[in-house]
Order: sequence, then structure tokens, then C-alpha cells
Amino acid sequence: MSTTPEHNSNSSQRATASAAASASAQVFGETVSVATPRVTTKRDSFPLTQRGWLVAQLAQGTDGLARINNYVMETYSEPLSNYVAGSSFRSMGSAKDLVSGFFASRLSQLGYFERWIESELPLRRWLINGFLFHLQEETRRIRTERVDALPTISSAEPATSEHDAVEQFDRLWAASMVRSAAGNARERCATEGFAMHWDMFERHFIGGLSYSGLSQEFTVTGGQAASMVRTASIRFRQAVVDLLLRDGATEDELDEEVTRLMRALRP
Amino acid sequence: MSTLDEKFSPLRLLAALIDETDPVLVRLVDRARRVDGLLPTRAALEAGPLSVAGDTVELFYLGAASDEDYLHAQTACEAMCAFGTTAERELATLSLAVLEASSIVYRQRFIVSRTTVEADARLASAAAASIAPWQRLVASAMRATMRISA
Repeated sequence: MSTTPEHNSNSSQRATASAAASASAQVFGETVSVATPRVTTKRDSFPLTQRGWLVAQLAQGTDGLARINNYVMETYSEPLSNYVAGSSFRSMGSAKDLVSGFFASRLSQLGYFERWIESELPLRRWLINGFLFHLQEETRRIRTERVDALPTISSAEPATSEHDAVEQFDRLWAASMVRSAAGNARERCATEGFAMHWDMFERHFIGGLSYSGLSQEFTVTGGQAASMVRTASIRFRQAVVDLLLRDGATEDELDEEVTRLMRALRP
Repeated sequence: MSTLDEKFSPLRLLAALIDETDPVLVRLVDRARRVDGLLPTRAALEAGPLSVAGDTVELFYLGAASDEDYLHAQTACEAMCAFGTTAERELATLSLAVLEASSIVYRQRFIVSRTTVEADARLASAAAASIAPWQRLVASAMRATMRISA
């Protein structure tokens, strides 16, 4: 069995202070403002500045940890459940219960997220590794209890290779993340009075309607169509950036990360 | 109307993050959108790289240009895009989009765009960043592009 990050026994490191500072970064070729936590640590090599929002929360103690747990459950439940539902582990129980069991066993562990930070993995990779390990633990536990209703899981090898699982989970996570970012951006557009801009963005990028077609359908000029779509597109971009940074990507990695996710989503 | 989830394509949305057209034009669109910066003026456009072929308005707005004039102006725009200052590159990129519009209207032919989608995005950006009377030419080109692709 391959070693998962959860096997690391390094002592947990705690961020001692953080203050979110506004910064701008070149993201997808344009400057956007991002919240960059300024953090001091006990160890110089600790890559805290690369872990954004989650690290800032960790430094805030119990309240911060509760916010992290909520965020992780809210963001990663769906792709983890979808992963189980599409894997041979589904015979072990309901996807929802398995994911809940995983969160219950891991999120309560002292130093769980500090170990993630040390791993330098994207959060989704850390979670899927841990989830696979949890599922294997569950398999062993059930077998020990002599429950023999596990027809699809061999005792000799894991039910799926880690590489396949990571690829499959990347695909599910990417779809879930983009959906979530689109929802956030749509909501923001509506709040700021740009609901029509978002509709045009959707018609253009999802529906494939040209700018010329948009100008006719929405009774605007071609230039206005370009400007309005751009207004929504900037909000969508910012929503994606926020979620990628929360998953642990650095500003420098964002373009590469989007390319990777596009590759994962291709049929 | 269907919900976002029902009609949703994550891949298409993610592809929206990659700008469809020249980043310099996108920068101009952003400036026009925010109304907080200078855009190339009509005078600059008409005296810029398009003018190497002769009277810009007569040739490219009124449609008197020959194929050779288009080629000459295109070469001048591309040279300025490659070697100019930031402001010159912006002027040259906008000029190229205007030249594209003129070519579509008067020759039914693209100059720099490879597809109608690319041309549509380029023209829409140019329409946002240019001023009358060139905006009208670009708007005509957008309609003509739709007819070409239909």
C-alpha cells in the first residue's frame, strides 16, 4: 500500500499569527486582488504563505477551526460522495454515511490541517488520499467483524489504484468547484445589479451565442455586449481564484491549475 | 427556463477563463468598461499604422482600399504590435481589429482571425474600445460576420 500523507508523524506546527493583507496577483493574465495572509511561524521553512485562507483560519484557534471544518464539509462532501458512488467502495454503505464517517474521524483529529500544510499537497489531494485510507480502514474493520457481504472488494489489494482515484476525484472536484464558483459569481452579479450581464455571460460561454447574437437578443451594441460579458467574466474568474486559493494553490500555480482541471474535465 | 445546474457545462465555463481574444484588446475593453483611463483617440487611429497605405478614412472606412493597401496596413500594425511601446501596441491592436472589420465589410474576408468566433470576439472588443465613426464600421462587420457564418 502506498504511503498516504496521513502516515506522516511530523509534529503539528501552529501558525502563531496572521493578518489578511490585500495584495494583487497576475492571475490568468490579469491583475486581481486576492487575500494573502501574512503569517509568522515557528519554523521558517513552513510554507504558510502558500496556504491562504485556511492558514489564516488555523491561526484563529477553535473558531477558525470550526470555520475550516464547515468549509471543508460544504465544499468537498459532494465530490467525495460522487467518488464513492462511482467506485467499488459503494457496496460498503451509503456514500453520504461514508463521507460523514470520514469527516467525523479526521476533522476531529488534533493537527489534521497542520499536517496537510506540511504535506504541501492541494487540499483535495490530501482529502482524497485520506478518504481512500479511511475506506480501506473501514474495509478491514468490517472484515474483522466478520461481515462477509463485501463481494466486490478483494482482500489482497485496494479496490482502486491511488492514481486512478486521484484522477477521478480531480474530475469530480473540478466540476463541483466550477459549479460552486459559477453560483457564487451569479449571486454576486445579481447583488451588484449585473444579473443581465451574468445571463449574457452564460448565453455566450455556455450557450455559444456570439457577441453579435447577444447584441440582438439583449438589444445592446456589440461593444456593450463585450463589456457586459467581461463584467460577469471577471466575477467568475475571481470566484474560481478564491476557491483554488482555498484549496491550497498558490498565485503562481493558478494558470497551471486551471489547465489541469480542464484536462481532468475533458471527456 | 432551465437552471444553471441543468444546462451546466463545467468545461465550457472553465474555458471562459481563457480569454478568447487578444489580451491587449481585453485590456482596452476593461478600460472602456471602467471609464477610468485613456483610449486611443479617433485622430490617433486615423494617423496611426493604418495611414501608411494612404488616407485611412477613404481607404478603410469608405472602402477604397486595394488588397495591397490592406496588406501594407496589416504589416505596419503587426510591426507596431511587436516593437512598439505599450501605448503603441494598444493603438496597433485596435487598428488591426478595425482593419479586420473593414476587410469583412468590403471583402468578406478575415485578415487575422482564424474563425468566426475569434472574429466576433475581436470585433466586439474593438467596438467597446473605438469611437465613432469607426464603431459603426465595426458594428457592420459584426453583422456581416454573422451572415458569413450562417
